[in-house]
Amino acid sequence: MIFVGLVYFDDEGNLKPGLATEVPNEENGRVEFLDDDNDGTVDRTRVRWTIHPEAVWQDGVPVTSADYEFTYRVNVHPLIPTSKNLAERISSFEVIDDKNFVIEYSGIYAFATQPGQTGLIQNVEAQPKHVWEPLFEAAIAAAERLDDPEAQAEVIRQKFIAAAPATSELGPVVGNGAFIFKEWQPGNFVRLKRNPQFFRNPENVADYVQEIIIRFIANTPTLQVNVINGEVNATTSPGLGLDEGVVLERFAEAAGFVVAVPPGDKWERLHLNLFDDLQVVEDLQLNDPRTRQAIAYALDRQGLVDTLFGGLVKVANSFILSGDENYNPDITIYEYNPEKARALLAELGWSAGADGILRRSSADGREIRFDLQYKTTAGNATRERIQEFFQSNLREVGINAVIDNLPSGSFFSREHFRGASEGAWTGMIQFFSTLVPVRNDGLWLNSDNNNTPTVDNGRSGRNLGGWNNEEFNTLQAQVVNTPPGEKRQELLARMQEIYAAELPIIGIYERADPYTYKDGLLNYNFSIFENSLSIEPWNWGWSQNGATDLGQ
Amino acid sequence: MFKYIVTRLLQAIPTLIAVSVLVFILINWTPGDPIDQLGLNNPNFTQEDYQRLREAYGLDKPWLERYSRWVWGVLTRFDLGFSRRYGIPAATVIFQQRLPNTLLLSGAALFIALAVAIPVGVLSATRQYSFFDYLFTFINFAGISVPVFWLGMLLIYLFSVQIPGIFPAGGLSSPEITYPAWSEAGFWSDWWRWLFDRLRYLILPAITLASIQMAAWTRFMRSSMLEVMNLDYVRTARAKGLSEQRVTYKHSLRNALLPIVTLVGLAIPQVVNGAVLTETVFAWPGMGRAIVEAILNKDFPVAMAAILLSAVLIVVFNIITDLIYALVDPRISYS
Amino acid sequence: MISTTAASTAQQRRGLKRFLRHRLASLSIVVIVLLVLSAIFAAQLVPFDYRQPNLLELFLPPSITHWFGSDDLGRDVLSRVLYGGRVSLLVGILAALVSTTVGTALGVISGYFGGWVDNLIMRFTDIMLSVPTLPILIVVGALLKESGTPLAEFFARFGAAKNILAIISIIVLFSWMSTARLIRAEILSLKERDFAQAALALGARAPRIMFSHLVPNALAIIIVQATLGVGRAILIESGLSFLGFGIQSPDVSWGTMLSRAQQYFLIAPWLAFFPGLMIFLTVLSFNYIGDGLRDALDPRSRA
Repeated sequence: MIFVGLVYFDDEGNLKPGLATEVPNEENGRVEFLDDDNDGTVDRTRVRWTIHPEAVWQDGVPVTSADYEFTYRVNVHPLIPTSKNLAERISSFEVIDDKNFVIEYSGIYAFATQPGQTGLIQNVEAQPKHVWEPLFEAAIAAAERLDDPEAQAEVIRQKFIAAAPATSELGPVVGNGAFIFKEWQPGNFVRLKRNPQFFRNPENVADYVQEIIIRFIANTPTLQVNVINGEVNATTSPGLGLDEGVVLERFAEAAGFVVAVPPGDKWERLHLNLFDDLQVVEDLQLNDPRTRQAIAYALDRQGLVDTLFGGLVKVANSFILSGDENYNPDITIYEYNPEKARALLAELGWSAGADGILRRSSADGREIRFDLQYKTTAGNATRERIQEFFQSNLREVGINAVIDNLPSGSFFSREHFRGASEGAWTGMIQFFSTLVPVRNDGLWLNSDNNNTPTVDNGRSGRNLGGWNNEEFNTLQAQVVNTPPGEKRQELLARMQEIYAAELPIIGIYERADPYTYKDGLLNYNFSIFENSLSIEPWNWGWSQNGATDLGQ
Repeated sequence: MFKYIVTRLLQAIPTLIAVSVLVFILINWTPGDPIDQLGLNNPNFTQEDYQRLREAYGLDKPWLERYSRWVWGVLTRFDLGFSRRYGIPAATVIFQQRLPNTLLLSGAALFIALAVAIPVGVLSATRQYSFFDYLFTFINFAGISVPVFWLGMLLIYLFSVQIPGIFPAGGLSSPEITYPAWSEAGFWSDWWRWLFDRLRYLILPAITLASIQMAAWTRFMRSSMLEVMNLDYVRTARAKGLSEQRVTYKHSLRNALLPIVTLVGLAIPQVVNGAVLTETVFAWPGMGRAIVEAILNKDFPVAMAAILLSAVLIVVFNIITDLIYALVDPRISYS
Repeated sequence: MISTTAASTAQQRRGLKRFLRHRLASLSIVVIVLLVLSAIFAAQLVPFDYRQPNLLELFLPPSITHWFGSDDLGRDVLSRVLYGGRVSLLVGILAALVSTTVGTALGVISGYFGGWVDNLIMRFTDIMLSVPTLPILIVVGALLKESGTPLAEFFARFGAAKNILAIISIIVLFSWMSTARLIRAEILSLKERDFAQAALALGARAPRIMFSHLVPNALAIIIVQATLGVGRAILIESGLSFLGFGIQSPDVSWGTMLSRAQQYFLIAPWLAFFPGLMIFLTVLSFNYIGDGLRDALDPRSRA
């Protein structure tokens, strides 16, 4: 709202120009895949951006290429404590003139035109150079006089990162978007005022929302009551959980508000531990795909989605969104079928004991009981509800799911989250992340490239359960170097087939966070593709005040 | 007297050091650090990023060294560390943003508790074994037996959901009503509007938080009053033919009130615990919730600062309590 | 000392009489006995499986079939409340017993030996009393659950019971202090009394004096503390569970039920009402019993 990206996604996933004049693509010649040595593989991806001539900072200074170049320079600076990975991918940053600049990425980079790919933080792709450069230079100069990294970080923080005007309590944030920061009461609210100079404001801007107060309401029941009582006009996504959305829907019509759910962009899922050198994994045969398939058949995911979540979301069958063009509809789908689950488990040598829990004897003659550890973040009611539902599903096929939840800080700690190889978790864990590869190139199921977290590689990588499939790895290597198009789609289709057959991860549902708005509030949309509060906040308006539905 | 205060303060120092070490060790033992949180939702976060940030934040050092650094910063610069979550110093989070809200809430709660406990305690005592006495004895027991958060939920359900519009279901204040700037014309009406708004938000959480103390103090007030009423000089006063009312209010009440003052100090630990739950139920941005959030989000400096500040409050109020006790009771000497 | 037996029997009878005169305390005993029985025989009493979801019966209000309604997974709330009572009562009673034992032991040692031992224990008690308990409980709770820490490994040995044991332990950790202080004060005064001095003069050894002479005489305070401790422990457990750091499914406690109910209290207030009411009734009863016992056992403290 305060900042606008060069481009942004609308609610259907189409890129639209923000501060840029147009979205770069191959047709308009702004995106080029260059093969310097003519060996058939792309060596450089080149994107040319043009900043809209009317784009100005909120203090009146025009937005220029220098602002982007400066922000990029800050982000790659070794003393600035940020992730350097994306910035390092950028091989050159060239300012052509005040309004034009070119960014080159090494190799093929299919996501170069998406928001946040100029080497910076999502949606704050540029900061005003005229405000920040003096502070930056001074902070770096001061830090370079010190040797201790901790002391350096401290100086950078005091003189630059936490200096006014970064922390909004100390001074005005200079943005480039439709709303100007006015006031902040910590833990309570932020007040924003319309920027009448913003060049993408709708016609008759006076009829649209002039002031936005963003309230922080940490407690969901409080938020629910506020929505029903009409004390808040709209809520954001994410903000409300799915459960709360379902509850609010019962009141929506009478209280005069709308509950909307953008299509899911996150993947709530179960990761299974496949590190078969662990005794537990070996005993439960989690490394055998049939065990995973049996678990998938045992879970009534459709019932969960339809009944508990009122059909607001979809079951996740693939690692690609069901609405995405790359989704493969022909993959194996595991519908609720406890009979099949029992049959598969029987095939694997399990039979029910007196307590109804499955038993089998191992090769070395021990009796093994099917006690499957099942962990998620403690204190998340929606997750715990799912967990208890699945726990009873699993009990029906003779699997005893042992719930052992952790506070989220501990759950997502390196030692735990990426500690499956040492048995930090041994059965399955439930959490969500953004679905890939919709938004970036982070396909994370490959077991090469140090992508499997173990003690040896310092627990890095995203292949948490330690799955290893050679064909999948090979395909993935190819996908990364294939520009968007049919070829890439075919590769992804095959990868989804392998995934569905092997089932290293069991998808639960395509998670979406509902939002609400009062009747009469127009153009209030959330895009699942955008991380900012909403898309096109400059178009928000009340129909009773004369605003027009702009049909986005 | 002065010597007594100094001795007590000196005695408090090892206690505070021990508390800070205990909390520091506990917090550092819990797995996970702020950098894990940074990397979680950033697919581009690499192992190198992780190592570099650990170094920059000093997280790679052994805990004793980090603890010494932290203590040194606190003592020399009053630097409580930096909140990674809010991007501002922990001292700002605690002292400027959270502490005032908590003081307001707990102050209001203590005030309500006293305002109810004293008259009800006196009435129960003067009408011992009456219906009124039994009723309030029951309410007292109810007050110390009810889960604070459940009471909060009930109040929200009854007063915000069933009768919308009077009491908000939580939060600190309405954003559209801010403290008015001075102007001849409308300042006072705006000021009343502002005050009214703050009260609307304050009342339910304050009553919730007050419930425990209210009950305990009424009981205490009742027995303290009964004890005083049976003392010789009160009996004498009564025998002299002074009116019952005069005896109650002039002689008994004044003497019965003194010990209850000391209870306020002893209630601080309970208020801190109650505040954690009350602030959670009512979405009140105070210190109690800050502690829980900081622990959940691994925002160690904020957690350390907030817990230690609570410990300081507890210790200081203990000292004040002892002092007042020594002042009002001549049998205790300051040594 | 010779006539103590006779005297104490008479005293006991008087005490029992006084306790029974405290009508609410007697009533509370009945309530607690009923609650304990219903928790023990939950399996025989409940009409439904407390763990079994029923997707066709989500959020049913209280009715003839489901007296307390049904929850967010269609499970019978009454059944869950009865099973929840098992955990809540178990946690409350065990935590109170252990913390009273720990507090008594420390208080007796501190009061009897005095000097540096007393100083050390009382300093430590001060420190524990200066710690804001609930936040620390959360930190310790996380520590206990995490694999890898020595504490967690210790508790992992107990298998299915480890969560309940962990909760009890952390409650004990932060609730022995008031007992220790009270007992210490009592011991200090008892120590000066004739019988203790006589035992000392007769050359009795410290443990014998402490446990055969001092502790029995402080028993009134200990019993009252233990009774009140049950209520306190149940409240702490419910608070921890409410914040999401409590018992894990399929085990259920009143606190965890309340925590979940929060989310749905607009459409299903009964989910919050009944477990909260049970906590309230139980804690209230223990407090009344404690009050009655205080009246009965310790006539001096009568108000």
